[in-house]
Amino acid sequence: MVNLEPHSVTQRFQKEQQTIHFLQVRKIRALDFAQVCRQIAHKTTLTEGEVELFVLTEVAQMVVENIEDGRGTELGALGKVELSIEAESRKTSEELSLDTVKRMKLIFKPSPKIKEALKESLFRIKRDYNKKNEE
Amino acid sequence: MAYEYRKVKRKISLGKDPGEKYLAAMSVAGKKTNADLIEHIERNSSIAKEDITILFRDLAAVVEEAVSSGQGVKLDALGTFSPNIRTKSELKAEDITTDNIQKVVINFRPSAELRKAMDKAAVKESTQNKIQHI
Repeated sequence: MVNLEPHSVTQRFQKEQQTIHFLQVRKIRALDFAQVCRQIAHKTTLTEGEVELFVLTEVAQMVVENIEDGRGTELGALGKVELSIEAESRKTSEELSLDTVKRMKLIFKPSPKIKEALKESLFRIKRDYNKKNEE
Repeated sequence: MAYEYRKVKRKISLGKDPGEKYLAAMSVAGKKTNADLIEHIERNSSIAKEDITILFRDLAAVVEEAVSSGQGVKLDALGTFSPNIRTKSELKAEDITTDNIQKVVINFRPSAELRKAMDKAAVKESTQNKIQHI
């Protein structure tokens, strides 16, 4: 079950300070690499070692190589990772230079199947949150 | 190899000075497809193509199940996938309801290895001169 909790943050909006409130997912301990390899090994004929060494490590290595080549990588049924940059804006294009590029980013885009599963989980999250608040 | 950036025009609505601004955006050099990835893994291991495809499918299933239950997935060399929600904020805490929740998303935090690869890369301006409106 996804647990939600309220958060608030104070920010500047149109020259005024204001506090805004929103819901966020409560963080819980992530599934780690060993657990993932074990779960996948149970579903296939591969050993945990094979899953770990040959696939997940090779996948990461390939993503690294592609990053060095300036390319994104498709990750099968999981989705894809794409390169992007975080940059500061300027009023004119002539003011743009390398100095406005703050950092490189790697963005993950889930596959259509995972996007669909996320849409379904949205409904469940809302239902569970409302049920919890009624109790 | 250096990354290239191109110039884009965008309407910025937040911050001290909103309005139409220019900024640098990534010029992507393409991407490696699923077929490339599977071939690469098959070449570097003893695992058959079919098993690799099934493996990716199972990896997606593990991530999907974990994220749908509110749990992140940490794949050491690749990074961490964490569930999050996109929500509309309110000025008063008591006005928050589930109607504020717009979308469930997966945040991806690349591993230290991937971040190091990005930090090492050089960036230069693209030879494409036309400014794009986005």
